[in-house]
Amino acid sequence: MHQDLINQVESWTDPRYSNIKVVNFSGLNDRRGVCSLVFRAWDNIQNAPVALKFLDPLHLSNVYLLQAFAREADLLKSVSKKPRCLTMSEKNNKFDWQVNIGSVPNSFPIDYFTTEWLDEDVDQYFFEQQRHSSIEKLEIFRLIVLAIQAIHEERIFHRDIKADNIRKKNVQGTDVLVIIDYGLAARLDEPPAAGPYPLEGLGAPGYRAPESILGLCFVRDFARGTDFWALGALLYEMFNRGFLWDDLKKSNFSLILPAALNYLRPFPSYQERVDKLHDFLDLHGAVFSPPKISGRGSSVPSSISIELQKLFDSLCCFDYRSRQMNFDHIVRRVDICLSILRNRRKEARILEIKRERRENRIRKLEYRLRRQKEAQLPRK
Amino acid sequence: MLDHKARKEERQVEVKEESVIIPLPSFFSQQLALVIPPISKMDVEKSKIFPSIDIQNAKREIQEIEESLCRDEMEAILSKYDRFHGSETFLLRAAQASFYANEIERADSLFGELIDVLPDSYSKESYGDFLLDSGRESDAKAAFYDDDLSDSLYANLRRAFFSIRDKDFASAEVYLQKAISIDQLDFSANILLATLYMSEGKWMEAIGHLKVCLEEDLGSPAALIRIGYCYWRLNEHDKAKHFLRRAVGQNSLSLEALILYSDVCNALGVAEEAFSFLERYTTVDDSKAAVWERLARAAFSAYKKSRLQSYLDVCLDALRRELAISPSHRVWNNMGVVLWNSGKPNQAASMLPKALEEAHKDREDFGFPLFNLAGILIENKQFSRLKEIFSLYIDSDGTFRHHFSEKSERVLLQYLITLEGVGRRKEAIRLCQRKLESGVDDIEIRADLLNRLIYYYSVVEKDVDYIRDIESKLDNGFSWLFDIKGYARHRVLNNLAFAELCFDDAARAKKYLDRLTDVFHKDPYATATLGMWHLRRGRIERGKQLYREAISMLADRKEKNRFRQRMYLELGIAYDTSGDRSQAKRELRKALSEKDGAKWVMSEIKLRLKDS
Repeated sequence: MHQDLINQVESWTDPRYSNIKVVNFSGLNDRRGVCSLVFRAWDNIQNAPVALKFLDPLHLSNVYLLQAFAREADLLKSVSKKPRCLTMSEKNNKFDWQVNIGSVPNSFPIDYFTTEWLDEDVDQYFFEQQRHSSIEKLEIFRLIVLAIQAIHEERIFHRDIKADNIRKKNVQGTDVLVIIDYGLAARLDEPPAAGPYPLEGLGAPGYRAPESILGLCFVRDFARGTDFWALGALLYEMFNRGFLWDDLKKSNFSLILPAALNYLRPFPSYQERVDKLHDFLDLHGAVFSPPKISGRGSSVPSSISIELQKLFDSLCCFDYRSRQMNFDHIVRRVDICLSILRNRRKEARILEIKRERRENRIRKLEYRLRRQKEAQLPRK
Repeated sequence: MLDHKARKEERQVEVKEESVIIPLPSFFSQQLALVIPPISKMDVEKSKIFPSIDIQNAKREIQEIEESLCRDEMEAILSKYDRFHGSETFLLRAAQASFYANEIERADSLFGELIDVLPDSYSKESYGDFLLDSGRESDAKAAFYDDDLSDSLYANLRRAFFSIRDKDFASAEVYLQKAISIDQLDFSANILLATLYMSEGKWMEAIGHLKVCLEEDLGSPAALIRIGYCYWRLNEHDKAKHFLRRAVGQNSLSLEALILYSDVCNALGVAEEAFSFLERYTTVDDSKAAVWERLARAAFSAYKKSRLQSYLDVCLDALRRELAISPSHRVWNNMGVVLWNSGKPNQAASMLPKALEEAHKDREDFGFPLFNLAGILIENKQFSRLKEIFSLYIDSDGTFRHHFSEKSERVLLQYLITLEGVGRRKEAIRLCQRKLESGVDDIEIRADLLNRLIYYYSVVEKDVDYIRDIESKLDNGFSWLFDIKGYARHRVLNNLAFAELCFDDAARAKKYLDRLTDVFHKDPYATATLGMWHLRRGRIERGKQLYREAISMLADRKEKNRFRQRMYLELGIAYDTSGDRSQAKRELRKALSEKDGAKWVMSEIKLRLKDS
């Protein structure tokens, strides 16, 4: 079914698009994305490459995904042309998919829309982080914060923020980052789409906020917070060789999450679950403590480890109500780290203070152990 | 006044005491846990703690939720292989994603590439972790024992981990000391070393290292639990409770901290303090019988102190939940006790035989259910039924037919009461004497047996020689009496003073009363005995005043009547002695008219009235 549609789209003789090639599908067991087929094409009018996004024919009967696809186009339309946002080239359109039912030829209109094609990603800051300085990484992180801020200012939350969904764009000679793939995004002031909701939650492992894993990220009160959790995950993975997911599994995240699931389990209605989640967070929310961003395998410079840990802790906070959701505050913290790294004297002073504190603690420990040994010696 | 009745026993909810496993913080995916004996056994069992391996079930649950997503993640990452295959970060993440997607072979080959690209300690250790997580333990060991890693803190921790698992504590200590020399303030190294010291009983050394952990990770529950445990072993119980309270406060989901805190609270007589934490835990995990059991105990303790029915309801509910998870004789026993306290003795009496039956079936100690069942039947004065039940467990000479440890001596006391209840007092007294001679471990029970003898030989048999014989043994055979403090001790002294007054020897009585000065005006029995002594010395007003004070201290109406009757009798005797016969008669008649009096007192009054 997929291959047939792909073949038809790739051989489509539309006067506007040429060189059409699927980019997220090379077989049923080797595909990326949940509900769409993405093609790269050349837009003969704009004289630039574009992305054509088609609804996956497999989901034609899924009410929720149909609505989500329509919503994606709608969201893109509203952010198009806004600074630090993805631009839409062609609004919702239909492609006539020719299908034979038995031997009778039939035509199915398949929705698609077109956005600008952005080639340059930020993967190297995550997968080759060792080749980039901490200043470079923090600058990129700052741009990611601004990109997410741009869509949040349009009252849109994304729910699938990850390195894969971030692209670089040059606007009037300046590099900015934009967020792509609004497949799971929604508007804050619109009700959730109807239909069977994906109960297993949305997003990639490690990037999924707890409320998302609990299947509640469609609740608009929670929704905003999910992007901030993902922001924390991005920060972590920029400075650590391993996955955040791997370290979360070793932390008490794996204790609090099943506990939350158990706590909500007896309540079938969403409203009850929302209320109960608040109760749970009041009782146990503080149990989770995020992993150390400057732990083993980390490249966080010692001079900014405390600042960065504070920022990370405030973003990857289990209780969404305590999560840092103020973009200005996040940017300010990143700027503090940048200013420390750029100012060698300041950095040296911080390192000196940290070294002194550590030495004092070691002295205190040695003194304590010495006292203990003396106390154990028999008195004359 | 003679205090001869057996003290009403506290009804107790019995909790199975078991070893508590305290896992280490999960800096390893396989957890190293510390198994510690139950709180109550800590004083007897010396350092019987040993580390073992425990993998949290909770982790598995999360893994299942995320596994399908990990496969997508792996595909997404591997699609970038051509671009990033020379980067160590990429290769590590690709390998991790493959492992989580259960593509072990692929993960292995990616780890191989990672070590080729960057053979640093982190890459090798990550590979070692992967080997261990995928069940290839010998390969993992080989990876961590690589000579290149001898200066790596993490590798030394892993080596210590393997050594502890193999019970090679000496090698473990060497690796841990090495790790500490690399970073003295490292959390993991300090907590592992502390655990090792704990297993050797070096509590203070362990606390020293655990405090470093607390500085590194403020409020780490794993460190707090251990400190609490160390302080308990050092007999600093308040400190132990304080640290365990902090541990449950920091991590309300830590089952280990919760169980330990609950048991410590119970051992300190404040089981109810763990109530809210236990109740909170059951909202997220209702599958742990140990938690329901402790919640029932805490609720029962809270009930005993507040008398609020709602606590009993919670207690019953907790027991029902426990029964559904793990039915045992303990649960039936506890249900019986709670129902008894809810004012439903008949229902309770139907639960306790079930508890006895289950205990027999499981070949478990049936002391608690038997003790509680006897308590109910004694309260309801169903002595014949109780005698029948006892005949299944106790021979006529008072030896137990089946061995049971818990409460056996207390049950003996109930058996004596039962014998008295069915009118076999002499048999009971003979048994009392035999048991006292053969030795009873519990000194309070010994004191109780002694009281029974004093009572019998001072008011029933009136054998002054026997009483004197007891008195002569006070410094010799019964010197244990002075090892007891509080109620049990002054009760014997009071009863001896009373006995001497009954035999008109106020001087001897004074000898015992002098040892009771600290309980006069506090204890009604001692105060009344002092009043009796004054009356026998002819100080009528002072004696009467003390008697009235003693009566005002009592809460039980029947007991008040009994005291009043004795007061009138003593007043009668005092007036008679002073020559005021008509007043003596009046007082004796008043004594006769009191209800709830003891039979032997009644007969004495009648005798005196007849004489006068």
